Amino acid sequence: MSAMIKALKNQLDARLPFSRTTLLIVALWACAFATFVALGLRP
Amino acid sequence: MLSYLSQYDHAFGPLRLLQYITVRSVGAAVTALLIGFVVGPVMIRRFRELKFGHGYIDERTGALGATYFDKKHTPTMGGLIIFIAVFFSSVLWAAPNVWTVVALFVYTALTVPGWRDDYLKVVHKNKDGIKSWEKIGWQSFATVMALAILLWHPQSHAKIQELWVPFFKRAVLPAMPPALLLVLIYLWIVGFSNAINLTDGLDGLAVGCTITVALVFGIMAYVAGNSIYSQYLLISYVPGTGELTVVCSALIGACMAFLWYNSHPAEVFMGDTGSLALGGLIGVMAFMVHQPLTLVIVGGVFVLEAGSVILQVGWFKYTRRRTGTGRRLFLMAPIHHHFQKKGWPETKVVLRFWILSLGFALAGLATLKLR
Repeated sequence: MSAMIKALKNQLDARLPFSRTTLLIVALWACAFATFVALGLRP
Repeated sequence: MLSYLSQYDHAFGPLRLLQYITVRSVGAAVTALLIGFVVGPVMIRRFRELKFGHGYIDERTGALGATYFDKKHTPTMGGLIIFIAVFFSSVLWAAPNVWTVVALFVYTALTVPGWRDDYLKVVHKNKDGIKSWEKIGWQSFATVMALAILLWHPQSHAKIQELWVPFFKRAVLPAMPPALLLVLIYLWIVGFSNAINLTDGLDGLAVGCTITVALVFGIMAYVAGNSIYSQYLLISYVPGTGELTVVCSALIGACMAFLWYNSHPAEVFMGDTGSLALGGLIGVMAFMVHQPLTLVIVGGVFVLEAGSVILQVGWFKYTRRRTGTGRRLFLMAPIHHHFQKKGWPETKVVLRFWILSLGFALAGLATLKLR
């Protein structure tokens, strides 16, 4: 199982032009914006 | 969203300061500035590694490009630096409401086609960038979605349908038909997107003029969102738009950081990633604070630049039809290249256009009092 995850991670690293840290920041940022939109559009 | 912390001032007194738009505006500007200074060098280095420079001679500038400036190796897509700084800072410091959500939505929705355009140009060496229908599609999507949200939300539903013009004490159209509103917002978003895109031809020109426009609209958003000031100045009171001051402040901070790297000789260009989105953001904010026509005055440099291209093309086609030979009004359009052709150094053109922009900004501010 761990070997499979490792292989998937390696494949992800090879295919993505950005580091995983960058992706994590972008994901957190997307969550923050989603919260911002939800709070902002409350009637 | 930090404004929510002001509810906990009983636990820590200074948190009450976060309820003030002025305090959060300063915070937003400083945060965006710092983000720009931190992210800027990292992204410029990365763009250079990825060879995100145009790498081709711009046909519009032709020989001028070769004579006056060798910019083909300067990386583009710098608009991403502005986008990240504005977005992070605004989400952090602005209170979420329909106005701020729509402003950030339009900004994001127009950053995407701008980025794709730059990506195709610099990575795939495609001179034309994205197809014009795709660009129009994104601009239409951003406009329709923004208008749908503004018409749907109870806070903005009635207010967005009012049409205010400078020098009038009341709305000239208290309830515009949605179709007319759609056409006007579309024209403003697309018009100013393309105008800033055309202005972005010299180091620091577009971003410098954007700073003065953001400064004026920050003030306008503040007075429009304040019942006392709006009543005193006889302008439209639009509850909640004061939060757009925070977005404008973030924009000023981000543009200042970007200008640091974009000043002559530029280390990075904003590209379409920046210009399309900045135009859209300014265009939609002008409508939200009920100052759409004031933008034509405040953004006078952008209007001049776009106008020079329209006049040049129009005059050329007209004279070619009438006499068989096309004639030009300017040595080159947009008009900043005309002055370069006349022998002005690039920095002189930019500084003089900044002075013009400041003059237009002051003229725009004066319309607040003349009613």
